[in-house]
Amino acid sequence: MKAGAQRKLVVFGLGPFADMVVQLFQKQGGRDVVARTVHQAFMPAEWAGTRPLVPFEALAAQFGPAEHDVFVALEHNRLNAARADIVASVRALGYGLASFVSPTANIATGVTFGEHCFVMDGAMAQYGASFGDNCVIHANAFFGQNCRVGSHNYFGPGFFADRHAWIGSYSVFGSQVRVGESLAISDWTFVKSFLTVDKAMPLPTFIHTALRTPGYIIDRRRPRS
Amino acid sequence: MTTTTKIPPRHFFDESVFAMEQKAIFGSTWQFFCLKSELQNDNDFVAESVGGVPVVVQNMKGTLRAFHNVCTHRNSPLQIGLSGNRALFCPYHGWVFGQNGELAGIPHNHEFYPIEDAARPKFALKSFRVETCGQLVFVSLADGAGLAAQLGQWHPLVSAIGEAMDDIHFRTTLPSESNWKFVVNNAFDDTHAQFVHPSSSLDRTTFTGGEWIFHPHQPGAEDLARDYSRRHAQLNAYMTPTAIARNETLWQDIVPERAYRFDHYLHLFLYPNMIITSVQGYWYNIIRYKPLSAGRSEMDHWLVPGRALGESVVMPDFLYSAALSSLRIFEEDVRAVETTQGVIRSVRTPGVLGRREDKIAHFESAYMDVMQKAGAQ
Repeated sequence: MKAGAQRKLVVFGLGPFADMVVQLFQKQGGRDVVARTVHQAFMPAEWAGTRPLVPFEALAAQFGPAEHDVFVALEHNRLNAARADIVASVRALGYGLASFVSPTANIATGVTFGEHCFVMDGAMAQYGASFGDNCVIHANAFFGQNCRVGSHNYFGPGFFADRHAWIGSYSVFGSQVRVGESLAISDWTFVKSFLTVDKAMPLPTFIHTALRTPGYIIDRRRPRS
Repeated sequence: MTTTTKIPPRHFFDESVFAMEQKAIFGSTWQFFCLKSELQNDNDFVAESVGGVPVVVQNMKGTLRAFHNVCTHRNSPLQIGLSGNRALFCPYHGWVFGQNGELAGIPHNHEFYPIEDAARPKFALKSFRVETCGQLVFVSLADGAGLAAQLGQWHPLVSAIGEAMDDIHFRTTLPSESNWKFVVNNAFDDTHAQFVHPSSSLDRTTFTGGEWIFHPHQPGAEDLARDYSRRHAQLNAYMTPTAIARNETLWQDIVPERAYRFDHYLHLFLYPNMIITSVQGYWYNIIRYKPLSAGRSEMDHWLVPGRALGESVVMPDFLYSAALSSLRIFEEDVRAVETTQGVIRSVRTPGVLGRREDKIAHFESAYMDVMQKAGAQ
């Protein structure tokens, strides 16, 4: 985790997830959340929050990067990539990126996290598990021994990854999704809640209860000169 | 003004009719097979069935070739799975086939068989015709007119669309417990939308009206080889300026300048079993209706973004979101026609087609013309 636990914190986002993030950082993470921010285009006409709401474009003038960290509290679906883009903007402005691990999470020795991760109550990561940057891990998610997880992922409550599973980046796993032992899951995979993944997914795969069969992405683009 | 349905009910559940269709319709027409982007590299392949015949289209050193996907040794499939990258050899005993389907190698030939060089030509794979229209790859099991002739007056439009597709796409298949013709008829039917898709039907804040372009079928007067284009149909649904502006806003970061653009919703039916839809060229839905039996079919779906003039910035999560929106509608369609399939065996009298259902009458007449020539009643 990034150092700087005493720095004041700004939370990006206005939705219910962002509200929860504020409370957890404040009450369990030992952080002083001093402001909220969102892009100017999404500024509400009225704001009844207890902390100042500042357009992201004007954030540096009021809550500068020298004294503040930022956490981008966008959740899942198409927002993994949006969160990654905004995190990149925040970093480019010179802010530190905050992370949170709930005191009730059970994180084994040797588990590593990248920056800007959010790990909620009761989540468990066993020995040797590793996580990239910008992962949101909901309550009671479980990652078995030596699970390798990429960056910019979302794991819903009760997600289960058996040991040695390999999970790419930019993926969404809904509540109580189960991934079998030693399976490799491609980047950009989406698995709707309560489903079981029992075979490897070498292609980006979309599994949704609205579809009778999985869909997948074929990407044969080449850089254009 | 009304007319009756043209296809007898048993054509929707009789396996002997299905067998006849496979040969007379699917084995006799150019069939959309896959996207060319899946076959970019040497040894890329796509394996599908056409008219019940297993076919593999493979990139053979830069040339697309279509073969019967069955080894001439002991009838094992040569390529297994929908797509991949693998040389053309049999996974069962290792027989290797070359550029033109010729038998190029036999492991342990002398010890195991032997097959003399002079005898090898008779073990060549049966090859089929393959043609492309931009990204769109078609296969024909039959001799006869080329793809351009089958597309007829729609060939320039299909070419423009085919050239305007990106090299990334979403692919899935919806199985349906229904005859393929029910699903096709549904695709011509713009009167069901308000009932089957109450939350997604075309509304007047987005569309100002539509225009169908098609040729009413003239039974008996058709020369199929020359007149295929008379079987296709195109709907242009015209959009309000507000809707056009809204789409520009939604898409400007994803496909800012696309290779082919138009200001309407396009719905193009290509006889006998393919549909292309698009909103303004931002993305294309390609749907192929594939019969599996008299009462089962598959709806194969490709969602392809329009090709941007610059670097493509489309990400998979965007395709998921767009596909989900389309597939929810397809799923509603499939459920609707499956209920019809469930009762069709009890039907003894023809149904009724109204004025707005003339495209269905057109398709059914064209279908019956072919089937009656093939001997169906």
